[in-house]
Parts: sequence; structure tokens; C-alpha cells
Amino acid sequence: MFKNEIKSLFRNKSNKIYIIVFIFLFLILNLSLNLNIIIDNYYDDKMQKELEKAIESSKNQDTAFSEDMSELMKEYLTYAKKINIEEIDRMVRTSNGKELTEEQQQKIQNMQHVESIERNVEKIYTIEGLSDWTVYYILVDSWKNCDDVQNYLDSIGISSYVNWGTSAEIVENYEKINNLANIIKYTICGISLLVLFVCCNNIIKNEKENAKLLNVFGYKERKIKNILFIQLLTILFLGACLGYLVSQVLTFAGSYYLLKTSINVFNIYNIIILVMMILLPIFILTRKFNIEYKSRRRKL
Amino acid sequence: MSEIEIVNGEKEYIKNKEKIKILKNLNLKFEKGKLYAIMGESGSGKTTFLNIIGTLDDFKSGKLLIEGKDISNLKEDEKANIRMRKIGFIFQEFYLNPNMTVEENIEQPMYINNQYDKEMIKNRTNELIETVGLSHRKKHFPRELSGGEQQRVAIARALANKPDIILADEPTGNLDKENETKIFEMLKILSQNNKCVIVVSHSSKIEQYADVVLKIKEGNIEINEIS
Ligand SMILES: Nc1ncnc2c1ncn2[C@@H]1O[C@H](COP(=O)(O)OP(=O)(O)OP(=O)(O)O)[C@@H](O)[C@H]1O
Ligand SMILES: [Mg+2]
Repeated sequence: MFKNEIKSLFRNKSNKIYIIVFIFLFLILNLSLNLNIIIDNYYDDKMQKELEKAIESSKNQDTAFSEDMSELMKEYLTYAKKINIEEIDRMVRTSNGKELTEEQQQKIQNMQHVESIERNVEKIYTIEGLSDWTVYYILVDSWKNCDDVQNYLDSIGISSYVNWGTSAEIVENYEKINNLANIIKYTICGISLLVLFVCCNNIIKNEKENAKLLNVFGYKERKIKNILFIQLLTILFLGACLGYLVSQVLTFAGSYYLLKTSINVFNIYNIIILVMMILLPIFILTRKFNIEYKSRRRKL
Repeated sequence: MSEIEIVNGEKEYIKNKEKIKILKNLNLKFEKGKLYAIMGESGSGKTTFLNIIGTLDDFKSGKLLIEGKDISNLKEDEKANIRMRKIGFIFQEFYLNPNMTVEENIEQPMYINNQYDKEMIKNRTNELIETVGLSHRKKHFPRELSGGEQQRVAIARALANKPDIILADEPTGNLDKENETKIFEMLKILSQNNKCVIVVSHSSKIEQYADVVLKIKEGNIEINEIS
């Protein structure tokens, strides 16, 4: 039924240009939606390197590492070995010697990013000499989420360490850059939406005369709007799919260099945003569009 | 029963906060099998009149009856349905879809007609293209055709759904004398095939083909039957 209308759409030169514009638009949009993931990957990588460095220096005591730190690192390493994890940057260690109540332990266990909590009695040198300390190791799903646990421990007056050692600066940077990324992300979303609107508006404008012609033939308003809707959807969808494909190819190619890990463009959150971006302009535009022949502006 | 009947039709526009009566108290009847020529000076209201008959515009007051049925108060969609079944339009500037071939342009009105299936649409399109003598131009685009050829495509398209009424607004306005004659002859043949053909034209040549000439002057219509 719409075959001829779709065909005619692709015979229009300006529509071909719009498809190319949409490919770029959706490529950029897609990359920016995944900006946090890209940044995460980059920082995970950086953090890993930093930790490896810290572990190395804790093994060779003669480095500039402070006594305390190397002792702590050793403990972590021993413990990490015991529970069989590699990424020790995900551990929070308490060290007051205070016992956590059953309730508090439960609360930590129930926190969103906490994977496990382990109680341990250790012999630790203090000013008074060697004494028994109760130490808790809390395993968090990512180094980025250690903050939550620490905040809670602070609030109940228990001091804690996260073993990122010299990488505290990285964490701070990470947060700054992540905030910036959020701003960039939403700005790009906004600009994309604007560009989408302008392009869709022009595509519909180009079809205006033909739509009014359909009105003369006796097509019902609803039907004409459906045709316009399908025409716009075709162009947008084509642009979006190709843009997705290109971004997937790019991340695949770039996974060895720039992005390290390929980003998941088919994540539900992205798809919802993209579908909304496609539907919103079409909805608004086809709604306010006047297809009555009466409103046809005459050539003078 | 007349094909089209107008009872006390009035039309006015508001221009610079001033009401201008374009059509005053019209009482007219149009029959099948006749060719009507509407003439009048530029701005006299010919296009307005034709659009009202074609249900694309409304009288301010008065009635328009098509096949005895009052359509003045119908909804837009119902009017669209009447246009689809009963009325074929031909315009001065041809008004073809530039991105569709001759064939596709002619097919387009038929796709909303439930009476046609795909096969019938193809057959009827071929038939129509043949009647207007453009069989060799089927796959061409409007920009590849001459003005006369484009207008012939528009005529074929107007006939697609077998309408009883053909409305043509200055169909030869953009054409030379030779093509003008061709188009007028085609319209004449249509009226002889029992259609009600109404043509707006500036060309006095239309009077040779018309059965009735209507002259619009200051909102009134003067009727001249040519026998
Ligand atoms: N939508 C409108 N609003 C206000 N005035 C209008 C409108 N449409 C037409 N008119 C006025 O109504 C008058 C008649 O217009 P119409 O187009 O019917 O003239 P016409 O006889 O077809 O002229 P032409 O021979 O130049 O095509 C003109 O003065 C025009 O300016
Ligand atoms: Mg006119």
C-alpha cells in the first residue's frame, strides 16, 4: 500500500542527504550515551595499572612507599589470596578494633554494591604493642562504589581504608570527568533532538504538497498522517540503524586502541532513549501538520 | 435529479477587516453529459467557486447538493469520501507528484478505492495511460515530460476512480495553443461520455466546446446556453 510513497521518498535527493545526517547524528548520540561506559573502561584500566604498581612496591620494601601503606597492602594481598579475588581495589577494610553489631553488619551486607563482608581477628602492632584487632573486609562490586560503604562506616564512627593507595587522585579525577561527561551527554542529547526536529520538519515540509494532493483525491486525514508518519519513520529508522551499525563497527575496531572494551549499543536504556528520540518529533510534527487543500498557498 | 445543485450559495472573504462578497446568492444546476465553461476576470472567484463544488471549500451560507444529497454539513472525512468516489480534479500547474512515475501518479488515487484490487489497479492504469496516448512514457517522471504530456497524465489521474464530475481549473493555462486544443477535445469527449465537466478558463476557445458558459461578474453568475 505504501510502497509507491516509500519509493518516491528515496527518489528525493534531499531525503538521501537527511539519511546521511541521521547516520552521523545517531552515531554521535550513541557514542555520547555510552560516554560513561567509555570513561569507566578507561579508568578501570588506569586503576588496575596503578594497583599493580602499588602491589609491586609493597613487595620491594625499599621503595618510597610508607611503612604503614606497605603493611596494609600486604594484609590486603594476604586476604585477597585467601578469598581468591584479583581486584583488591574493591575492598574496604575497617580498623578500629571495634566490633560491628549484628545489625550493622546486616546493614552493610544489604547495601546496594556490597558483595560480601568478612570478620577477621588479626594481630596488629599498636603503640602499646601487639594486640588482637577485629577487622572487617568488605567486598564491593567496583572501586567506584567504595564511597558508599565508607560513608556509612564514618557515620557510625568506624575508620576505614580503601586500598587504592596512591590512586586517590584518580578517583577524584574520575568523579570530575564523569560529571563533565554527564553534562556533555545531556547537551548532545538536547542538540540531537533539536537537529532531529529541524530535519523532520523539513522532510515533512517537502512532502506537504503531495500530502495535500492526497487530500484532494479523497484520502482521509488519518490516512494521510499515517503515510507521513511511515515516511518519516522509514528515513529516521534507516538513519538510526545505520548509525548504530557504524558505531558498533567503530567500537569493535577501536576496542584494541581507544575504547578498550566494546560498548554495548543494544543496552535497553539506550534503545529506549533512541526510540523516544525517533517517535517524539514524528508525533509532534504529524499532529500539528495541516494537510487540508484549503490551506495550500498558491504560487503567484 | 441534477448532478450538482446549488441553492442560495454565498461566499465572502475578509480582507483588511472588510467583508468582500465573492459569490452572491447563487442558484445553479449542473447536469451530466455537458461541458460547462466558467469564465470571468482574474480575482472574480472562479477558483473559489470550483473549490466549493469540489468540496475543498465551503459556502458561507447556502446548500450544495451532489446527486441530490446535501453535503454542506458533512464532516471532512465524509467529504473526502465524496471526492474519492465522485470528483476528478485537474489543475493549471498539473500538480503531479514529482517523485513518482507517470504510472505511480495515476495509480495513487486508486489505492484508497476499496473496489479495486492490485491487479485491477494495474489494468486500469494501463488503460488510462493508453487513452491519453502516453503508453511510451509509463516509467517517466513528470520532469521528463512536456507540459501537455503532464496535463494528460493529470487527466488520466482525474479519471482513475471513474468520477461523474470532472473539475478543471485553467487546465490549459500553462500550455500552448496546440496542446490547448488537445486538452479541450479530451474534456469534450469526457462530457460526451456522460460526465459532468466543469472547466475554468481564460481562453475564449473554450466557448467552441462548451455546452453552457457561465460568466462570474461581481459575485453574480450569468448563464449562456450554447445550442
Ligand atoms: N483564502 C482567502 N482569503 C482571503 N481572500 C481570498 C482567499 N482566497 C481567495 N481570496 C480572494 O478572493 C478573490 C477570488 O479569488 P479566486 O482565486 O477565486 O479568483 P479567480 O477568479 O480564480 O482568479 P484567477 O483567474 O486569477 O485564478 C480574490 O480577490 C482573492 O484575493
Ligand atoms: Mg483561479
